[in-house]
Amino acid sequence: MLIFEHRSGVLKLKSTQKHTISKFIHMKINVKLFATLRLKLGIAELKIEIEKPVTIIQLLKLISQQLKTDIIPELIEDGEIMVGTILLINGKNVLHADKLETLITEECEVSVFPPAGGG
Amino acid sequence: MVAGAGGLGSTVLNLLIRLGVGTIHFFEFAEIDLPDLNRQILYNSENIGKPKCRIAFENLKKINPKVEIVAHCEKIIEKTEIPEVDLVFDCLDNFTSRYILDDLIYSKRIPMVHAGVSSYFGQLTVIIPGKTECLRKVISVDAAKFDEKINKNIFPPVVTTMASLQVSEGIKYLTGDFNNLLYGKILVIDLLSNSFDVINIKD
Repeated sequence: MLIFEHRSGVLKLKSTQKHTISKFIHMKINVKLFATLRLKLGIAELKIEIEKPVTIIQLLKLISQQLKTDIIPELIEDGEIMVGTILLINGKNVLHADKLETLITEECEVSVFPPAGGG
Repeated sequence: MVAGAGGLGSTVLNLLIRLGVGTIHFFEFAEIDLPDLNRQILYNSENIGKPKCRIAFENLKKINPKVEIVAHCEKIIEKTEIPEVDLVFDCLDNFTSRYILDDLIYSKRIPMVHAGVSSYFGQLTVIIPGKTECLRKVISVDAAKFDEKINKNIFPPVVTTMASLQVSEGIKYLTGDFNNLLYGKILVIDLLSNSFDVINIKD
């Protein structure tokens, strides 16, 4: 239950309630990187917190900010997901959704990996 | 059936023949090259320049003469006649051929244990018609473009590791152990950091 109080003539959310609200607003996305991506970026897993739904391309920009390195050139070429990169949201390939414009609207796990083609 | 008798295929065939798995068909069309020898364990330095198909058949027969081996010395193409088998091991080295194989066997409802290797990494998944999507949908790439950029540098231990895992999954399938089978999932291994990860996949 949300409790509001009057402060200086304005209805404000009671300060102790802000944590409750923030739990609903902040969504956590768990990003897992595999294979050569893990090697190039030096990281296997990271968590991104978002306050509103984001597209895949927006998420990649947030990851770049967090890692302080631009990962877009590793994954995107000519505005499309690079040939040889698989992006899954909770196991679902974004190529079968809206590709880079696929919207992430809830907490999820995003897996990014370049499949290996040799044999 | 084993598609390819190169890196993955050499180890898959080696293990299957030693396990005494029924009748084994395999497809291979290339010749043995010196760089192959670091990971293609069915061949040795005396075989360079010779057809893999024939040498593989001869060596497999020596390992276990009781298993029936049928060597198809040809490349798998759209018109290839796939024999009546219970399971296929994808040991090919490019996605163009993999998708051709996938098209041929998925429509015949034959399951497949797919694996791919590159550098220190590999992935594996089991495709079961009726239970999973086909390989083309599970691992979607633009095959022609992907194959142009394919990394041919492969750490040999990852080849034998992935091939062993393929046989392990194959045995699970053939013995009906669906609880532990890697279908609806992709196993991704990294021998550099020693990690094995399983990604659950959805249609």
